[in-house]
Amino acid sequence: MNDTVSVIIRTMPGRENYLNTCLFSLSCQVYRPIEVIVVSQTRNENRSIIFDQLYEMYHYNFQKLTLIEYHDKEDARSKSLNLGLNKSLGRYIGFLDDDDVLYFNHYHELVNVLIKNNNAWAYSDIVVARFDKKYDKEYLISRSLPFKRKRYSFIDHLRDNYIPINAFIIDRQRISEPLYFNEAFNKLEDYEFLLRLAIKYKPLYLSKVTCEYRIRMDGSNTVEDGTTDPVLLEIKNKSWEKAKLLLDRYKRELIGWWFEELLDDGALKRFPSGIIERFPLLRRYLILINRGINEIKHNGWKMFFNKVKGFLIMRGGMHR
Amino acid sequence: MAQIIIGIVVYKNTDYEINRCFDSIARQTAKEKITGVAILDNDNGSARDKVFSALECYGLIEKKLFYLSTNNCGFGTGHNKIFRNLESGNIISSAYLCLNSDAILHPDCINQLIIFAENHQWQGLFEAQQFPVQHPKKYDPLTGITQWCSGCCLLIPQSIHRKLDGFDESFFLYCEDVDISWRARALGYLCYTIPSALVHHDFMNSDDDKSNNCQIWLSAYKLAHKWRSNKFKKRAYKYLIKTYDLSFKDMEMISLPPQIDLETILKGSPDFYHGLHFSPTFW
Repeated sequence: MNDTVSVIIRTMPGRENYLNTCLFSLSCQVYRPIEVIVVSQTRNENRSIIFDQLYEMYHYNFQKLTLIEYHDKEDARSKSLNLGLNKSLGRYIGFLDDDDVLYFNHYHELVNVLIKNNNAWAYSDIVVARFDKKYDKEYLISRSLPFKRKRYSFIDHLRDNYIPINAFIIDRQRISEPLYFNEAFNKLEDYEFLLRLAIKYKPLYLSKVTCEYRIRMDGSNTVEDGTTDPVLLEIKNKSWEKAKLLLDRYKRELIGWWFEELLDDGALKRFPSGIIERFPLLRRYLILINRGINEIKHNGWKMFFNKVKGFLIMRGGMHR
Repeated sequence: MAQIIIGIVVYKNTDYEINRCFDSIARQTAKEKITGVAILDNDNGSARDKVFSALECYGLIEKKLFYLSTNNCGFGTGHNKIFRNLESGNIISSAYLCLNSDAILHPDCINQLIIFAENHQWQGLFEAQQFPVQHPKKYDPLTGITQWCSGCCLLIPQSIHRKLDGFDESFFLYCEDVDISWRARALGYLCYTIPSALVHHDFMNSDDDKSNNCQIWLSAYKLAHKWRSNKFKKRAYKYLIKTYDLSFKDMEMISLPPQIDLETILKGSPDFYHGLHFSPTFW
């Protein structure tokens, strides 16, 4: 396979300004073998003419710049990514939303760490940049690092989606399963995708800021907050709740019943996730204690003792 | 039609930096408005071959070209030398674009700068917005007015450049752009940031460097002296002695620019309240 990074960008007509900036940041990458696949979902039959201008501006920077356009009335965010994935030919895969921005060394650094190590995927630190709007003009109001962690922990990852879609790349050569996004999701699709990947392949964490995640306070992002308008916020909250419930179902299927124990505000949360991962026996006892506490809370002491009695009798019987 | 001359001061730049900078000039949507490219090599001509091969490679050889070489005279002095050379050659243009040699222009950057400058009758200093990490100093989102313009990608109309007599040559590197902006304001011009004109700048290459940081504080020390801020001057003095082990003798050796009159200070309204940003910041 080649050393090309295939970058899949999902967009929609009307967002060409963001796409322009995104392509500019890609054109400034130190890592050169880049193939860009822009997947544009149209809600009506109008085709974006501006893309032709963008193609003229940027195509010489990349090995290939392709546009895939398709029509779907629903928000088909996962489908866009899958269409791009099917078309991609590079050894490495990266994903971007049209309003994401990369620093010049993003792919260079991530590909380098993957070459030096045996991990199948790597991610780096990301800056969250918040934009406000005044007189119809956007301007940056803050920059912060809310996703920064000391190291990668699968348990932390299960609790929280702290690896945004533009922060990672995947080495396809080291993955045996086909890569795909679950099209049942139109939110949190990247999170579900990464959890499925992370349960089999531990990622490599590069402690360096190499990209930016832009949140606009006018609510144009898909992120949970990103708005100050109460009506928009309520609509967003509802659809996010729905997506979270769906994700919980998939987590249960993927991890097993005990994932809920991890997410409870119980005993496990009081311990650093690194320790819990290193000592599986401790984890097991903590889960049991946590379950016990929950049982007492919900069903009372009597029921708890009866369950313990039943469990010990069962255990004794099995030994005999 | 507007005519722009781009001035670039190179100093030990890599082939890669020179190539991508010249490539971005060649890909401008307003390429026909770039009448010339002037280069000053601050390393006695060591970059001559790579500069000319890049100019040829990206089709810029058809423009008016100027190549000067000297020993390292700094950023502001370098640009002044280029400008004087253009003036003596009677090269007339609407404006002069100071461009960092490690910068990459967005394909529409110069076009956006020209549109904005034309809408303001070429009265002011116009900077492109740095990308991907924006400079934190504040600008008015509606008008673009800001306290000072960075020299990374700065459009200075030729008539204003003449009135200002270019950069102050007592600054070797850094803060010469803050100084020229405040002097322009003292003359009644405004400074503008143009968010639609983007210029890519590798901030990580320069910000981590210890010697660069020392240079920034040295220039800030000179700036505070020139614009009569005793408080900031003391702060810079203490910082330099403490952080970089400079002796009192070393500090006395620094050649300071002459102080400017109080009337100019009142008109230029320098800002020493926000540290090295010299302006209120967005965050």
